Amino acid sequence: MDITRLQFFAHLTAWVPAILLVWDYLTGGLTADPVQTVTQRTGRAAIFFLVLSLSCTPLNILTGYKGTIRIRRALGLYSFMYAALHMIVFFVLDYRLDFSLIFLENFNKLYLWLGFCSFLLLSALAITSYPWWMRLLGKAWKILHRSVYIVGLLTVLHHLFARKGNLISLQGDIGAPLVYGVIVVILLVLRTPIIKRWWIQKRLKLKLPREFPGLILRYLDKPLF
Amino acid sequence: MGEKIKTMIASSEITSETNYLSRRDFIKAAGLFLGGAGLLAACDTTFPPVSEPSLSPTTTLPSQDRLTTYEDITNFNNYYEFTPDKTRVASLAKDFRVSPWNIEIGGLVHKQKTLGIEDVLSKFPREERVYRLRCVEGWSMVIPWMGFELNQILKEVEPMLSAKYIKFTTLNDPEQMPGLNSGFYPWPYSEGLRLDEAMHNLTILATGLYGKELPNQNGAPLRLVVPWKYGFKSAKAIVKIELVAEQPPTFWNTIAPNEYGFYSNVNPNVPHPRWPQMTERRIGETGRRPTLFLNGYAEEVGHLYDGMNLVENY
Ligand code: HEM
Repeated sequence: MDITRLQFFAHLTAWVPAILLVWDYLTGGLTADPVQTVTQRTGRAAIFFLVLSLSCTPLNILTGYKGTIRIRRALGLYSFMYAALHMIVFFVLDYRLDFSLIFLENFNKLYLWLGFCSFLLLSALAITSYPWWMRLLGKAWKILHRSVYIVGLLTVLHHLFARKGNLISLQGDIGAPLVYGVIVVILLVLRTPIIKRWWIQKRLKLKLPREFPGLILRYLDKPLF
Repeated sequence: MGEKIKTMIASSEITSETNYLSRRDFIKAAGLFLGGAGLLAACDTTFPPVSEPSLSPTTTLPSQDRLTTYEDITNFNNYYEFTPDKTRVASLAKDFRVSPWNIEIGGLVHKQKTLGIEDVLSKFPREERVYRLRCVEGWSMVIPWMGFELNQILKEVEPMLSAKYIKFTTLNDPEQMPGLNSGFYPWPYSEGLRLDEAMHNLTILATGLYGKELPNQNGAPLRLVVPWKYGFKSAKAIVKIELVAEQPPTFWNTIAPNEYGFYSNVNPNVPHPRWPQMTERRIGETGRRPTLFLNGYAEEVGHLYDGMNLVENY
């Protein structure tokens, strides 16, 4: 098998939130309001793996390490998996597919429209993430998949407005979405061509010490078996 | 006015929740403060007409109100002084010291007072009140509180004529309440009511639930319960009650004034930017049920808002 240890860890981690959900379901640990709890937990897993997937390329730029590129797509697909669960819980468990009620209750809620747009775009990326589509779309594929940053920003806003608080006065339960927001902005900055070129030149000149992280990276890149 | 039940049962007589639940039939027969509520939502003519279309028929069948379990009431708590995580409040509040505890009642009153919690408990006989609790987040419970009407304590201190509002302040002790260390909030927690709302006999100070002492996570030793308003209006662990002339600033209203108004009456006609307000999830049930105007207490408290536009004064 040519699966590396890093890939193995990535897949393993990605199943942790799902396993915990199943475990809590079986042991009655889903709180008094399971619908809200599962919505929040799947949402958090979705944004977590989305931002991990988003950071793969910038990490590669920062360090020159190529291993992250190999897990980028899988992380994105796991994010999509949790986002899909998140959405299904909302439509099926919470609203029982009562579409008129869903609309009446929610058409005026900005954060849901943001989440919805984010989900549509993420679905498009998930569907076209296969090599076959890459070949078909050529250059357009690259452009399309850069829109993952838009997904990132939409999701951060969705997360932020889903929390009790106020961005302007910086008050309320908004710590986590703010952290994600800062990370996404930093990742975006790292990908701007000027910064990227400047840093890569600098990195090559600096001849960063390879030994300590190098050991870890060599460990991660070893095949699992 | 709804029929009042005074069940003066010593807590020692109520041994367990199971025992308690067996009295449920009796409670139902008494009508409680729950009865007839389903009918009230739609037919109040003193309020501006509903602008939104009504719900589809599948969602308008109110099923009976049943008591939420003690387990759920005491393990699912919005109590930001401890943590925003509703499931962790119970463990974080485990060692909260509820005695000694003083409640200062002052401001625009003729007889300022500081009462120890034991004075409060001995002075004001507790009665049982079964109320719906509707959280602004879109879930609800039915809780058998033990407590006494707030107006009893207010009569003791004799409010001045100039007193128009009442302000409640929660304990501000970061050593005991870890959530208070978060700089994201305007601590201490404070809430407010208009004086007539505070004097209304549905408004109680609770010191117990399910016939037992009030658990720390539910706001021990003394909390407010205003059943026709969203849950956050009912301040917990109260240390100060002040009568004031002007509408006092309140916790969530300070954080996000466009989302949480001073009144914060349960109102299915006022949409919230985040949470659903036309329907709610009743804890322990599946699916959604319609949210009732003034949480089903319109008959009792609707007159407080005669002539007021409750969509503007949300
Ligand atoms: C149609 C699409 C979507 C719908 C209907 C939806 C619905 C919701 C709802 C109702 C909440 C609030 C839950 C609550 O606190 O009661 C929420 C929160 C959240 N959603 Fe979504 N969402 C959608 C798309 C997404 C996507 C695509 C992501 C991530 C990739 C996401 C991530 C989150 C996160 C992180 C939260 C915050 C959870 C928390 O409070 O910790 N959502 N969403």
